[in-house]
Amino acid sequence: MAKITESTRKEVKEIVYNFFAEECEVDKSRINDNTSIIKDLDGDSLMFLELIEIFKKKYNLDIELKVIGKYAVKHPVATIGQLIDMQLLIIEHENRLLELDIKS
Amino acid sequence: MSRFPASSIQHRERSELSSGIASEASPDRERSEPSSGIQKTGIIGEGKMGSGIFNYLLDFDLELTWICSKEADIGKIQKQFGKRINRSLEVGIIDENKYRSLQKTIISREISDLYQCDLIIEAIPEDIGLKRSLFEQLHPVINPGCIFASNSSSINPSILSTPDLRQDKFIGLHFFYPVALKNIVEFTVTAQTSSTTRSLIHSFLDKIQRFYLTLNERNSFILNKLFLDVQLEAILIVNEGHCSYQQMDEIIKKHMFPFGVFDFMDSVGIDTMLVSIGNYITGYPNKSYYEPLVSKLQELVREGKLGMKTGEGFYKYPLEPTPTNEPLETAGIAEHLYQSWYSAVKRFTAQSHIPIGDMNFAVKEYFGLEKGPFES
Repeated sequence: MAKITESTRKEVKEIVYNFFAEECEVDKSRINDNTSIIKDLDGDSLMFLELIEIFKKKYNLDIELKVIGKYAVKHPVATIGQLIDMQLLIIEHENRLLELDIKS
Repeated sequence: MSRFPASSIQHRERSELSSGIASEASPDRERSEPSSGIQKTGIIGEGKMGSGIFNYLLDFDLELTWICSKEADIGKIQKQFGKRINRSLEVGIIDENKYRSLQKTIISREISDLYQCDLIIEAIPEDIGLKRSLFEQLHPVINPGCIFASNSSSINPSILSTPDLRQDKFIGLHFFYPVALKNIVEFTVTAQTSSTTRSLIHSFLDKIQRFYLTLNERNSFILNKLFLDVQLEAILIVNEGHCSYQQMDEIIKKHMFPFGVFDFMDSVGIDTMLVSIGNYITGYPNKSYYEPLVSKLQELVREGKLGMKTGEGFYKYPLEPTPTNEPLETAGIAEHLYQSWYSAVKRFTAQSHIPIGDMNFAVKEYFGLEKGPFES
């Protein structure tokens, strides 16, 4: 289980902001944690999947898409901030993500 | 790691034999079929399913052509694809070889770009007329060896083909949404589907690492039909006043599936649900049994409440969190629904002769369950 440090948090945020700025062709300064991915950025689930692939590669994560899918059904992501939080949980817990629901 | 359950591959042959009705096509029609398997694959449609299938197939060693409708912003789609593969190369998700091969991907509006395809999968709206017309346009301009597949979730392939439309190479390939997450495909064969077509599609589905059920047209769309029985039971219980739509969905999410029956229908689209259910029950002797569900969907369609896409269906969107009380009969309702579902699973499994291990896995994938109906 990876430990999330302040620098990991910053790095993830930077990657997510840059990703949506490029993909949705908006100025990065117009994105904040409350930005709605679908309503404000016209984003979609494919972008979410691509980001997961990027983080999987970057942090060498052992995580199945199916696990993330099951988690996302119960914890839907609507904003950039929620997406960052979920990515951090994925990095931290990998395939044990669903255990969070059992614990809570 | 293989995405196939250990038992499924060994059971597959038996499954086909029991449900199979394949006839051999004449040798001259076989000549131009791909000898070394399906490589060039076309996808038609840029909706949720078309884009989902296209994006899923990108991960495999295939040459893809994606045909989008005239309404699609093709420039934007092409640009996004280019950015995506560039990013994938930059961060090391793909290597140079894969990048070069992905650069050959064709994204266009011209169906003639599909000419050399070995397999074409259509994923356009669920409309018999539209789909038939598409296949009629495709047939004269596409390589005669190409297999035509429909991703329809409710229309049998024989309804979409005519005697002069390569019937030996006409099939159903029903992927499920979201394609990236649902490891299940319903492969529907007709009485005319050749053994070569079947074998090529089996290899293709193995190559793209998707578990599949091979079905004949009597048992086609078995997973949606199975869910239909739960949807019907749920609306009957609501109509009898035992609980509200929201309470019913809460009960289902708590006791059975990760999604509710009514929010599922809103998400698919009420109009699409209505058309699909009409197609499923066409051949049923007890059509009137489904009347309570059909008439509610007809009412919503008349009112323009087509689900999430119009802002209202069974629910109003965006959803506002409204706490609900659990109905007194929660345990009884949950038990009744579970028993209805379980007996439907057993009935469909017996009728279709699908091996229990295969059905168990398919049901698990479809409903997103941790444990299948046949696991203790």
